[in-house]
Amino acid sequence: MNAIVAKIEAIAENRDHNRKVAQKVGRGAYSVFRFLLLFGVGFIILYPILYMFSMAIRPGEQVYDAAVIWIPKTLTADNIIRAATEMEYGKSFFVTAGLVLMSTVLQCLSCSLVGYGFAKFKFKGRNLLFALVLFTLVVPAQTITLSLFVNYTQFDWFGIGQLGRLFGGEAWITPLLNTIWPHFIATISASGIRAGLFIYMFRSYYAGLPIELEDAAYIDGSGFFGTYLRVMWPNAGPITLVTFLLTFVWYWNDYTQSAMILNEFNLMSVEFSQLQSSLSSVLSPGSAEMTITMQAACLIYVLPILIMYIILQRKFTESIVKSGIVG
Amino acid sequence: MSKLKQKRPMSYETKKGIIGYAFIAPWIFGFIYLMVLPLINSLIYSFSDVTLQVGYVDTVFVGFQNYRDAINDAKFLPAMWSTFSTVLLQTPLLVIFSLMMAIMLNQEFKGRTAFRAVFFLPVIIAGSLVMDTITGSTMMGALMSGNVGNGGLFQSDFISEVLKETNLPADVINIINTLVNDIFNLTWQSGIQILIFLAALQSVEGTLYEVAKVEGATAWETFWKVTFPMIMPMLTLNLLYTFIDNYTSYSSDVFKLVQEYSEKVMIDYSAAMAWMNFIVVFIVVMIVYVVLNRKSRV
Repeated sequence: MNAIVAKIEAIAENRDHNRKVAQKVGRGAYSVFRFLLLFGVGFIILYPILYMFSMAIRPGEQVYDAAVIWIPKTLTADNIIRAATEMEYGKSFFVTAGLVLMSTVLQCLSCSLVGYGFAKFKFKGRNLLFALVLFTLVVPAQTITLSLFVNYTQFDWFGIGQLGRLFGGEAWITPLLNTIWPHFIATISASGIRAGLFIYMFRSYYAGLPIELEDAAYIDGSGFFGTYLRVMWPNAGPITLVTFLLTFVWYWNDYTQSAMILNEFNLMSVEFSQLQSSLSSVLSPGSAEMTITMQAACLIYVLPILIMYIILQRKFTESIVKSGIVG
Repeated sequence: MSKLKQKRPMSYETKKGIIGYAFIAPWIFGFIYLMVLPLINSLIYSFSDVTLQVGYVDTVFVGFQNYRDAINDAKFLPAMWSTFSTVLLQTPLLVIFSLMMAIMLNQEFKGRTAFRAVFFLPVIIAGSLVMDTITGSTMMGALMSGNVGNGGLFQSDFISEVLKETNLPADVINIINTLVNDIFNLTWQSGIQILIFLAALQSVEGTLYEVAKVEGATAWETFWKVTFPMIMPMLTLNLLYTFIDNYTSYSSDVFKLVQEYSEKVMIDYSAAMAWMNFIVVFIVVMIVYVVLNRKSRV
């Protein structure tokens, strides 16, 4: 009898042991699989970027050289210099950086303000208005760009200018094309690129902050706006960072809108879009020289945002994880 | 009597409500001036014959003429269908892919930070002109399609060979093939979606997982019974975001067409096309929203 019990115990122990081993093996196999998959996908992401770097710094004769795949035999800065001269890089960098920075800061300010309004105040029609915020995300930009373009070509001061026609003359209009004002108007009124998304994010974040925080401020005699500015907004660091980085990048990369209203503004995306055709008078399309010059142009175009991303990325990922994207 | 009423001090609630309007005032202004009016204008354009004048736009009502022309346009309906079918096929795939990646990036392992940094890289570059130039480059194209001798990078003949051995219909094989070869686009478009899922996964409370563990749930059960229901709202958001983002992207066939006509200053005609497209997007978004919302409530 005892022998049988012992045997059963031994089997049970064995099974336990086996199960543990199986679990360990399973876990090990999974982590190898995970590593391979992530590595593979990561490679797909890095591949074009490495390609761009590699092409931008090699001399023309090494483009179709079978012996050179990634690392060129000799390095050259000629491509970058040529691309930079053609794009008027010195000028366009500062123009673009200035305009994008202005738009980004204004978008952070306005979206935070509006998000706070939706999160912490109860007023008539709040839910309907917030639904309309989300609705703006669904409207394809192309549906409205054209009439915005018409608006900005003949800006009539929000309709005030039309009064001019009442007095028998022509409407008072100011052309706003190729000025900073279209971007200014859009971002200060929380209607910049994908502003709805940021309002949504700010609102969920503020709604998640404890009510004691503002109550304490109100009891201490702080006004509504002062409370927002001194107590609430400083707590929204993560979400502000996310808004800042994404808005900056989206404005930096924006082409269609900018090309329409700012086509003589030396914006980098506009310069870049014209590069191929302006180069084609010197270089034949599809030639090795053309390829490397274009890749060099790509490099200097993305380098500023790439550097910014590298500096901010750790904070950025942390912020995303902390932030209240989740409503 | 009425004087008394006026003199009564405003209640705290009312005051707070008014302050609330003050906070969202910038957006209300922007919404009316940069969204509602342009939408109305472009709707008017789409029903009119438009000529630009100094200071105003001259419109002559022509009814559905522009819409009729657009539908009879040899390029419009095919472009719309190709955009629609591609996006409809890609959206679920993209969302599932990013969910998988987010789950993996959410686990503890060495080098996680580095992987995260790489995976969000597309957020800053994807969709820009630069990306088109890099991937459109001749050498890159050659490498990707496997013309460089040592086999393509992202295209697999192997899979299509294996599939031919099975007795699947040719259409199915074609679809699978496109999907496999589409891994590049899939990866490059999933940055924001992974971000959203990662944030959602982080927000699931740890205690729920502890309970599941104590009750003896397997990892598979935990995912379907705990994680999945908790991130369901974000799944809806991601589906909608992906659909809208891909559908309204400037590189889609329809909007290339709209762009082409608006560059020719055929404002009325392109407005009609843009509106038809907008309606399609809106209907699909509403359907997805209603269906998923009902499901997640049950």
